[in-house]
Amino acid sequence: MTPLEPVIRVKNICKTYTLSTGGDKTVLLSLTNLFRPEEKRTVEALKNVSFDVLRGEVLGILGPNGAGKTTLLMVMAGILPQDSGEIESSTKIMSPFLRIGSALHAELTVEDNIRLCGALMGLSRKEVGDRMVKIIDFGELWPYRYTKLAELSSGFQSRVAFSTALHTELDTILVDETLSVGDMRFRNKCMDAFTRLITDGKTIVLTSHSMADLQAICKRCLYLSNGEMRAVGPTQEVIDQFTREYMNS
Amino acid sequence: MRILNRPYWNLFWEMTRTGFKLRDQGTFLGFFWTLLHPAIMFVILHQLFTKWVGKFVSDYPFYLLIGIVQWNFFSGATSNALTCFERKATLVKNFNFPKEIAVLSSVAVVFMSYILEVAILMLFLLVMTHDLSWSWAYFPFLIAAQTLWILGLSFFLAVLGAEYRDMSRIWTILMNAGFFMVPIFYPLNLIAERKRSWLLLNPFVHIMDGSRDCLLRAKWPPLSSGLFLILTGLVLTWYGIRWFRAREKSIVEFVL
Repeated sequence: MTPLEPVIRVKNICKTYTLSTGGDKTVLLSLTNLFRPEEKRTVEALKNVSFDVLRGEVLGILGPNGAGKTTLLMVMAGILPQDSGEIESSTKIMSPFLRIGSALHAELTVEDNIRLCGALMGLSRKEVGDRMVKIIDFGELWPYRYTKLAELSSGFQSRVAFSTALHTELDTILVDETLSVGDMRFRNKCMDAFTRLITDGKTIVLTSHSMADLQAICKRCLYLSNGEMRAVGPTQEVIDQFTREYMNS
Repeated sequence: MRILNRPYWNLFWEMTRTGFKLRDQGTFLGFFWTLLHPAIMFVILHQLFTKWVGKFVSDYPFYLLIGIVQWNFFSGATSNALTCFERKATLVKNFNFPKEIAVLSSVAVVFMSYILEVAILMLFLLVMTHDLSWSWAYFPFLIAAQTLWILGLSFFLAVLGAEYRDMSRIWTILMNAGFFMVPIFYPLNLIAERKRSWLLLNPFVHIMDGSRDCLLRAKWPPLSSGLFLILTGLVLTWYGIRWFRAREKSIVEFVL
């Protein structure tokens, strides 16, 4: 196995969203539209995007709001179906860091939330049980194990999902704009954990608006604008092109 | 079925456990609140109809109670499945998992409450009538048939509920109408024969009647009707899963 072997090949991915001009789709509206077809607007979120992700690399994705970064991650994770093109992957891609905390329930205890997050990330009951101590240890959540999430501060709430996600031991990780959570000390702890994942050879695809984070972590970056792939290559070159085009637009 | 895959089995269990806890607040008092709904319905219907309908039905309180418990399972489970993707929209948008697990767990949550209600109902029957009949052994078959029919319908409703925002209002109207078209608080023989033959086309009328036969009248319903209900329930569930899987990938776009 060579270190530069591609683990994910994204080939000519296209994705279009159809937006209804008449608001939410309803049965009544659909019946009315039988006689008066509704006007629909389409937005091309991804246009023929192709690139490789190499084993053990951290690939950054940058671009302005609405560029298609999150859509691309959702398609790569298999959450959203693409209209055309294909994704070849030699590892199972999961999406533990996509909009972190979305699985959390305020009315459940910290432990119940960890169990649910673990199950959503594909862990068996035994695997979650085996990792429970490590997850609570990392999040420094021992005093709150049986406390309802709603009673914790937002910083501690995000630690629950973040700590669980860090302990899923996946080979390929997708990160959507969340590298660290909590206060300054815990943020540093998160960054250390990420650095460990990178040195352990995990493959990471990361979207971010922070050029400093991308420069610090990624050797290669991909620049998306209006669903089009504008550049892929060494981080500094891609950031320079993005800054030039973004400032002139 | 993908749910038999071990991590997915865990996800089904966690979603069901979470759903049950959030629905009944995971406490005895929480479950008491869930029981309050059928109890209030029972008291009102009993007070209103016992003089009129009670003359034609023996053990009318139990007749009514069985009707309410069976109807609440059907109505509660299908309504819960219909709104499952609206409630779990953030999970659907952020995690890649077989969506049928969300449907199965939303039915399972109501099933757990139903089983507890059935246990209390049977306890009442035993204490009040002192009559434990062999015909009670038939009841699990009716539960299986009813659950299969509910599951089959739920797969269709879950997709429609995700796609159409007014589907839950439409289903509420249909459930309100259905409450009067299934013999919950009246016996079928009070209905004119021509209309009765229309009502008999509804499989839940047979499930309701069969439940009273075996629990209340110590009578084994015809085996052929039980088998027919289970087989048609299996076909509906099988077709429902196929229909659901063909549309599964669109669900995330419906809730985006």
